[in-house]
Amino acid sequence: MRCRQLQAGLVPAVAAILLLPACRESSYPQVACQENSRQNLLHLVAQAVPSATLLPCIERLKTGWSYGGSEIRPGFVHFWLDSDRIGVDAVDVTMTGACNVAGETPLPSDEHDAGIRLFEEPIGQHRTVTVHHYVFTGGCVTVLSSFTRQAAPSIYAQAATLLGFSPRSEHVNDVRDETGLSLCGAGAPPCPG
Amino acid sequence: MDGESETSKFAPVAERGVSGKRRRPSGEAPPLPRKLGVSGKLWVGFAAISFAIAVLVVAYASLGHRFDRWNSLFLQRLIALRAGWLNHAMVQVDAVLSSRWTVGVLRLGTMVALVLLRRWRHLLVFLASVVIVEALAYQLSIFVASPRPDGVRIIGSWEGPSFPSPPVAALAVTLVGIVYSLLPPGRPRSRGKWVVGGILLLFAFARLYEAVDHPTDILSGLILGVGIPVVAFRVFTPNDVFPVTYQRGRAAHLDVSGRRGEAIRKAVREQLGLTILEVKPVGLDGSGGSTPLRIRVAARNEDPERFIFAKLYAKSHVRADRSYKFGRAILYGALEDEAPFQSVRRFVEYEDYTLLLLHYLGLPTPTPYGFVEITPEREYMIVMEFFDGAMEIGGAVIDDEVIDEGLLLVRRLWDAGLAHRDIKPANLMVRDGKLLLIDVFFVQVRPSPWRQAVDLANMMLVLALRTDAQRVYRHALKFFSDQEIGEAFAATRGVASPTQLRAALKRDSRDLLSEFRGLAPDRSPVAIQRWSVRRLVLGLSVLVVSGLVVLLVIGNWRVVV
Repeated sequence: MRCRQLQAGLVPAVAAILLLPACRESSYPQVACQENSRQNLLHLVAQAVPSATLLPCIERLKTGWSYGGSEIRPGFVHFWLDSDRIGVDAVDVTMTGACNVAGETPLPSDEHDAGIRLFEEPIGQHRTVTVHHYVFTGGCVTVLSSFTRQAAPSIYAQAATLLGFSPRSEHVNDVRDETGLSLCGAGAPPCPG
Repeated sequence: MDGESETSKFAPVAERGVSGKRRRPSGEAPPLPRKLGVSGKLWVGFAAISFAIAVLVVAYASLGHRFDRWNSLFLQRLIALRAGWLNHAMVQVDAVLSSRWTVGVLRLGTMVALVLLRRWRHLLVFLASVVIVEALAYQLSIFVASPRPDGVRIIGSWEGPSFPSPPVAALAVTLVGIVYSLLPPGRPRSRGKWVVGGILLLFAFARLYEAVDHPTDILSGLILGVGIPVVAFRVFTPNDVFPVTYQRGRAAHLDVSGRRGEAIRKAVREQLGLTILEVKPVGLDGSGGSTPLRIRVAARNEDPERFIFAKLYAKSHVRADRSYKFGRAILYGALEDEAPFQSVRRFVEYEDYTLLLLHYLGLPTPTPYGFVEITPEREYMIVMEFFDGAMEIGGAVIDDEVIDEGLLLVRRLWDAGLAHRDIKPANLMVRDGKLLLIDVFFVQVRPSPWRQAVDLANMMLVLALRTDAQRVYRHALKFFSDQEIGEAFAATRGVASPTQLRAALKRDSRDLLSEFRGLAPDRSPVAIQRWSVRRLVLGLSVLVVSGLVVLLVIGNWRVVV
């Protein structure tokens, strides 16, 4: 009897599991600037680009926006946001150790005090998207928005407030205080090995 | 342990029934209890502990920090071994074993092999294990969001959170799946397990050496990647029901040695009061629906030592019957009663009933001895008289008396409102010039006229294989009219004859079917195609479900390979 139940459950279970990979993206914001839980991925972000003195993160998500997912590996951090008006991958954020901003237009930045320089790729290169580069010591964050200021001014204004930066030094201190270990990279003592 | 001492251990004297039979008391295990196995239970336990730790680590940050410290302490000691050449070697080992290409090629190869071997159940369990492990590892890694090790320099490549280690889980489920679906139990599987253990150990060491994973990441990856397929294969493809074997023989046949052999001895002793001396599979080639056995039993009271015949039935036979009837319903419509049996018990109860019925009618069929329970609702064995000294009709001398007996047998079946439905050489025996009929599982009461007619034609064909059409036809006229024989050969085409009979007819240089049709009065063929709404709906449903399965597999191909 027990086996019959197991077998009866096998078909829908397999069907459900086959469908599971379609939901491979995480549905809750794991790179939130304010979230200090163990489930936050900013620690991993810091490990991926150890030279970066700042870590890109998401400020409070406004209505209509949702966290899409992330992809983090050595030297590369990528996460994206979905919008109910623009669609999936409306704002795509990538961090690498460095980037080439030659020929781009420098823009005034609110985060200038934190040592961030903001650049915008010429509109001629992409007519329907906006590409910004945030350059700082040891890192470069590229934000690709699937819209332009002219085409969607209100969305553009909202998106401008979504991205934040978390100082790496705070994470270095947290790891040291909580575990006594070193978060290898900028602002921490060199790691053995 | 001998049989007597085992019985006495479980059964006080007062509990014994007559004739040495014994009723199994409530709570006592059946002869062959279902077992997950010690290691299976261990893996389930490990998985539960692992999941509990993951939840606690997320809920209590301080516990997580403690784990981080222990993990890093271990890694700091391990990286003291680092040396240039070893670094290179370990990075290469990790790169090869964690590559999606490696895992993809292994999985694809396994799937192709399982398809070629037509081991569909193993294929389904393999695929389900892979998808479950991949999905669980991914979801758990997102849930716990564990960073990579701190306090040590990472020299390897990684992606995403570290707990549980997805590459370790992916490789483990693949290799364990290969071991359980392609290697036969016993020495080959045992060796396979050691090889897989060695590979996984090397892989785990490489990843720890590189400091890309914590020890707990590796451990949890192994628990998922090994535990899930081990439990899945043991539950859904137990060795004794779905054996992985490369020997010739039909998949329906069960292994009657080892634990099952002991269980058969115990069941027959306790439920029939007979002591088994020897169990030997017989006639496997002619039997696809069960495992036929010749059993030698010890003398008891007035009965001398003798052989009895038994057929072992398991759930796989019920499934095979269901698939067979489902296929027939699509290919031919409701040609006969295509309602499948719902359980092994019903299956064996039905054969017991037909044996009793034919025995009651005085037909030359085996005397029924009842059936025994091996595993409740999963395995039963029906026991009957063994026609010792009888020879299959294909190898026996066929004289006029045997021909008459064969034809009279069909006449008596007709008169009793029955059809045997499986008249073929393997089911007709000759002993001392007398014809005997075995395998009455397919017997139907009040069958369709078509089926009764087919029984006659099949009997005449079997008899003619060893004689000739004219002679058999002449004898048939003693029991049947011209019209009845004409109807029989108008009804008998293709699927109407059992596979073994069709093969024998094909091997024969004569065209016996045409010869009989030439002798009998002309009659237009009896149609065997039956069209109905049910048949159309079934056919369409199969097409739609097949399409959906193909789409699902294509859609999720990236996850599997």
